[in-house]
Amino acid sequence: MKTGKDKISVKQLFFVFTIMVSSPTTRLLPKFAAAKAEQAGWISPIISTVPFIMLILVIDSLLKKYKGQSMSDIISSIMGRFLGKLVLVVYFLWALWLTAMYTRYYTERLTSSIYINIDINVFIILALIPIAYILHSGFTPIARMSEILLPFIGLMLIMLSLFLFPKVRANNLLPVYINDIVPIFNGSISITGLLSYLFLMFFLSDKVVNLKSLRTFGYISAYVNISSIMMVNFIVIGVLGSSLARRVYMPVLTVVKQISIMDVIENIEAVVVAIWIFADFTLIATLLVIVLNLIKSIFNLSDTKPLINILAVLVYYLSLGISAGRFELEDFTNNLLMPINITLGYGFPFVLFVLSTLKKKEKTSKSG
Amino acid sequence: MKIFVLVLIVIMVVIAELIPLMKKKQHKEAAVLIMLGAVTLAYGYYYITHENTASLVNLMFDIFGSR
Repeated sequence: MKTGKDKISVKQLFFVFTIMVSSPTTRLLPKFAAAKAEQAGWISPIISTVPFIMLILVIDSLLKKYKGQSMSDIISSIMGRFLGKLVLVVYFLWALWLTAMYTRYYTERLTSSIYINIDINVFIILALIPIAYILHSGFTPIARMSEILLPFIGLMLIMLSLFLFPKVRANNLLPVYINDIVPIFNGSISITGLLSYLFLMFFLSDKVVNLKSLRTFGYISAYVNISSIMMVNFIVIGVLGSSLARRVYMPVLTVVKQISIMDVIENIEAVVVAIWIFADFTLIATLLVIVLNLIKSIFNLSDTKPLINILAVLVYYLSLGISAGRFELEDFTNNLLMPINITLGYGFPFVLFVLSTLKKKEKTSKSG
Repeated sequence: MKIFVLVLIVIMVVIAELIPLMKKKQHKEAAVLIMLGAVTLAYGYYYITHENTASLVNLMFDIFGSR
């Protein structure tokens, strides 16, 4: 699909989304699933399929009803000027919070995995300068970079799964009884929360062409994301066991460190960390573009490029001041962020859908 | 010293972007830029003066009353 300048295709949007999700997936999800659902944690992603597909259908329906409008315009059309702006401010704060939080997580992950004695300032600055530089060229380079990067992430996941499959122990994954349905549901909350970022992506819908194929790519994305999250949970819980997986800081890295094939292929965690850096780069850059687009909609600006540098400086200070340490940040992610994600990523779109349907009915009855 | 660096960076970034905006007469963009600059200065100052105790996460826990 050919796209114009500063326009991306739906396929590219979902590529970016998959990479965005891949970074927190490897850090957070196996740990959360193991803590909530123990040995049945690997099944929990299946539960998240239902709300995710419903979200895709709601977004598709909204975009079809309000053709050619961005999500910000749709919110303003449905809720009115004042309430619409208020909602956009809430989404702006959420997106800015996520940007600062993932910038901090990115540095915490590096300083606690391979660069232990390096100040976090170095990594934050090293991430934000290139991001700010690339964003001056628009969102298209990020989308194209994702097209190149995603196959590598997929390949890495398949190879790691193949290498680690012999180490998976069946007694770490079984038995799973019908009584496990409640823990499985609790384990799926973090996955559902992460997949809610799809709604944030559609604040960029004015940059996306060929929205007709949204449903098709949405279903493919649901399949790819859910199956890859399930694979990661399966391998981590299968190799480490649920009691260890929930206690280790980075279970995926711990599992990858165990790979040794005939004493020749070893220490491949460096490859994993390199891919994490690219995935975090895409995640932070995309969230910054969403923040800029929201500022554009809130203040009716014609151009947001002059705001990129000052926003990067703000994100730098926010990411430093977001928490005193990573334990506090993890505590927040597990306890407070997921309900916020679900409310803003699923709850509000459904409210918007209901309001748009009621509005349409009212219009039809008035004209009739 | 840290406050000096903060003020210097914010002023440099804002002025560097502000001049072309004023030339193009994009006043609304300029106003938002200055506003973001002020927010950055205010938060940066708060962070630097409360470096060991500043935590937005704690603030969120207090707001939502959950810990």
